[in-house]
Amino acid sequence: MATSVHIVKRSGQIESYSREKLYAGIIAACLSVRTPEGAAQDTAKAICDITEAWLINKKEVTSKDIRRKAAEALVVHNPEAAYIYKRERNSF
Amino acid sequence: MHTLTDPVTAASALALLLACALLHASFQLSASVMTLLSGHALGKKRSHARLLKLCGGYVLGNITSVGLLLLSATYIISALIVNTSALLWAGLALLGVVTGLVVLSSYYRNSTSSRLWIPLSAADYLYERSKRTKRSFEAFTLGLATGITELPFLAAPLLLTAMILRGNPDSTQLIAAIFYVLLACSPLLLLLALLGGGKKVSALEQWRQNNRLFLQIISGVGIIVISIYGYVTFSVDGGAQ
Repeated sequence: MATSVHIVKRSGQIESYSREKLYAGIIAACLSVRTPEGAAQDTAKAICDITEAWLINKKEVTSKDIRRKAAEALVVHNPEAAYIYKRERNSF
Repeated sequence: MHTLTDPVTAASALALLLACALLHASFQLSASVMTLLSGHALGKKRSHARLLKLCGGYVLGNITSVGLLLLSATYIISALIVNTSALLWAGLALLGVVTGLVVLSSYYRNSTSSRLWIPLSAADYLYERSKRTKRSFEAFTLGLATGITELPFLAAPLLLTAMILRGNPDSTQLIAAIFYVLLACSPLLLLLALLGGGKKVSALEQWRQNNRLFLQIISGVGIIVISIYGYVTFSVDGGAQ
């Protein structure tokens, strides 16, 4: 199950995968480009499902991998939100 | 000799002041932090009014920071320097040329991204603060911090402007300083107007990304040119002002 996957963060800290965190991040990216809330929720659910399908049979991934995978899926649903989501940590 | 009020040097001084302010405006950090702040505010479902309050607070903080830096530089230069010399202008020109070359070579961390060359700890601090900012005052202090963080790149235009302001009557200095600050912070004011009008953050970010190389060249070459111009124009007669 995806919840047993370990995520290695940039700082080196390890934590368990959290669907809620990913969901909240996608929602925030969609809302930041003024996507209606209902559409943002649908998109976030779809991205979480796609990402969790990718995580099956994986024991450990980095947070960068998760972000990359989620961004690849998001670009299909909402390219503008995907642009913001991909760049957020590297804004300056 | 008062550079801004002296008919002989007024045009050159004003041109240099204008160029310094426009170059200051071409730097990216304050605009980046503002788009990040607005993106986070929208992502957390803050109201439009709250978004504008936060961004307004940030812009005011940045304006305050730039104003204080410029007036402090002017005061210190006025207090320490009785007569300017060609050597002083040469030193400032050298600072400007070095800054320009650094901007041309290293303003972005790598050639494919728009990640700026600022200390990683400062970048992390600004990122975390912009994410956690909820109140206008916090946004104001974030604006202050951003203005100071980019100082290594802005020192040359600020010092050149301070040299122009030095020696002028107080009222002239104040008016010129206000002009500089408003022009230098004009991108933020424009961003505030665009966000208020409902423009998307992604569009603004994409514009910055698409034009980053152009802005980098303009900034780097511009600083070199104005530094040499300042040296040639104001020190060529021995610099006694």
